[in-house]
Amino acid sequence: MRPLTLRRLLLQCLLLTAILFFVVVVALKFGAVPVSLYALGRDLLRVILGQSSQISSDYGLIIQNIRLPRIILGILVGASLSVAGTSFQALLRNPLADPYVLGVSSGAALGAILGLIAEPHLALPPSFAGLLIPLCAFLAATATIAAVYFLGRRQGQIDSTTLLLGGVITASFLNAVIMFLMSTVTSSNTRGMAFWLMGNLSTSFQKGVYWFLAAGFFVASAIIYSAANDLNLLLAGEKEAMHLGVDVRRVQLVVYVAASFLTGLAVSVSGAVAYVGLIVPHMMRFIFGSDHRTLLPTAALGGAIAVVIADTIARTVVAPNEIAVGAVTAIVGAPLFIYLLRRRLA
Amino acid sequence: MTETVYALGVQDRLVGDTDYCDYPPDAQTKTKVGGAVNPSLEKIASLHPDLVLVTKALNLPETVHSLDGLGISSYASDPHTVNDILTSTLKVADLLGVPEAGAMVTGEMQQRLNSLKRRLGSFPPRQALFVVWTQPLISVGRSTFIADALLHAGAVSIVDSSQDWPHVSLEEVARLQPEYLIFADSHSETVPAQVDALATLPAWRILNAVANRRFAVISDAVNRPAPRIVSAIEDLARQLHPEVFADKPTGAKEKIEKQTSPEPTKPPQNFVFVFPSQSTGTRSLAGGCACAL
Repeated sequence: MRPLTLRRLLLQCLLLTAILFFVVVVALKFGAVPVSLYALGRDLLRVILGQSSQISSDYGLIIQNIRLPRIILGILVGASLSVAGTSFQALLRNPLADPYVLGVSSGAALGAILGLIAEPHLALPPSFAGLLIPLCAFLAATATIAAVYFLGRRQGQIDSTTLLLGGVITASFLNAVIMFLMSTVTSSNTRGMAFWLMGNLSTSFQKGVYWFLAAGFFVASAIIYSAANDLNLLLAGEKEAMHLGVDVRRVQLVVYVAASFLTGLAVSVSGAVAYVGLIVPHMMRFIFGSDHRTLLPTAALGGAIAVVIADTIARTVVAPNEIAVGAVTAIVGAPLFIYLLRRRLA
Repeated sequence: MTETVYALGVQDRLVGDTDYCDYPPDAQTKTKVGGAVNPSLEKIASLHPDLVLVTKALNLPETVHSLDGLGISSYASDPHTVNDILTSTLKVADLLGVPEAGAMVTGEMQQRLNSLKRRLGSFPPRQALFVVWTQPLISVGRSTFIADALLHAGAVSIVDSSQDWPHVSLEEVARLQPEYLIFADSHSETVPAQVDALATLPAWRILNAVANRRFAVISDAVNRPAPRIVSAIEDLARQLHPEVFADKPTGAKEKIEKQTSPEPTKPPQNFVFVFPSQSTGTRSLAGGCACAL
């Protein structure tokens, strides 16, 4: 491992931020409704200057109210999934680990489906109605995290093998419950379940939700980043890390909770977007090395770039219709993973 | 399909239907054979039906193949227009040995559709968005009978997709700005709250139809290829073109229509007399039939 300098870290992040900016501009330009780069630049400048009220054209409103929030959602979801995936791969010392491996997404899906079933029977105030499903998903994800944690303990502390097995079994059990509900509940709301399971970013939320997601992402990521050095040592093995003075139990618990929280946040607003949390950490490790002090921030930016690109494809490839972003990430992700694997073997 | 059987008045020969068959209420008391996609073949076989009625939009070809293997014949309807629904109703009536009832039911449907067409004649159709699901936004494609039903009701869908259930870009909807959103819901009372909720979301707020609460709610009969769809079409036409129905003095005949059209809870009285007894069973079929919606 090369010694890390602040300069190198900043350069890497700056490079990825520039790529992300470029991708966002491209994503803003393309969509079902065509927009010229000039109009885009002018409107963006107005937004930056706080004169968004001057945006008069319909297209400006479409960009501001539909496309931009969706891109921001993509950035937050991609970054969260990717940081969570990096953390789980280190925590479980398993290159196949992804944010969903411990059942968080299955728990969230079950919560969303229960919310969909209950929705018609509840009289919710309008401003809260759109939040019911994400909230149910998030609560169920939290419950799953707790359940898997207790399943994954051995002699009072997390054992990564037990945790992995407990998570995989929990996920498959929850998936079975979802299948059961989908084939037995006759409510017309069951139609919504299929869309939810595929993962998509077309859901619109009130402004506060984006702020909450952003705040949650930064807090959880900062917590994980503070343990970046310990994660590096954990890669060598739990015993070795302990001998080197790492409080393994504490680090495992903190990273587990924070990474699961990030996954829960992402899944509750987008459903299960596949492969991002698995592939992006591997790609970044391939390019920038496996030091978690660089890997975590670069993975966050890389995940954001990947999801924004995938969602732009999902929005435009069959415009004016759309496909689920989860379908795009899965189609691109699986071959990419095989390529990375072969490359590493060679 | 179950609704068609009831409309034809031969429900006493219906030996089973699916979990989704909830109209008329009596249909819920029939022996259930499971869902439309995954009915229990054992249950169907145990009812010894002479004929199984299926619809391609919901049931799977595998189900029909399995029924074939059991020696149970089936008839599949695949309506893509309102006219197809009339044709398949006639066909079903024929198969069940009640062609007169079929002619009567479809004759009345045709007459009501014609009278609606005359009234709406000169008025331009409303630009509408039929909402199947809001987040993500799912609408209907051009080759569904729902899109055709909208045309009969004096509306035209802004979505022109070859997919039957397209996932539509909200951007495109915001560009086209439909005059009305149309919801089809068995819980129609929840729709205003649903629109209020949409109005709080940035992406939906910029639709004029949402901001001005211009939406129509009709019975989910519009989703079903059965005679009752005509009532849903009439109901929709009234909501979209109030001026057409307001400025004409309402005759006695129309009043009756109005009373029966919004979700009638009784099977149409006109057809009660067609009840055939088991023994009068006619040339093509005398016995039961299990229906998968």
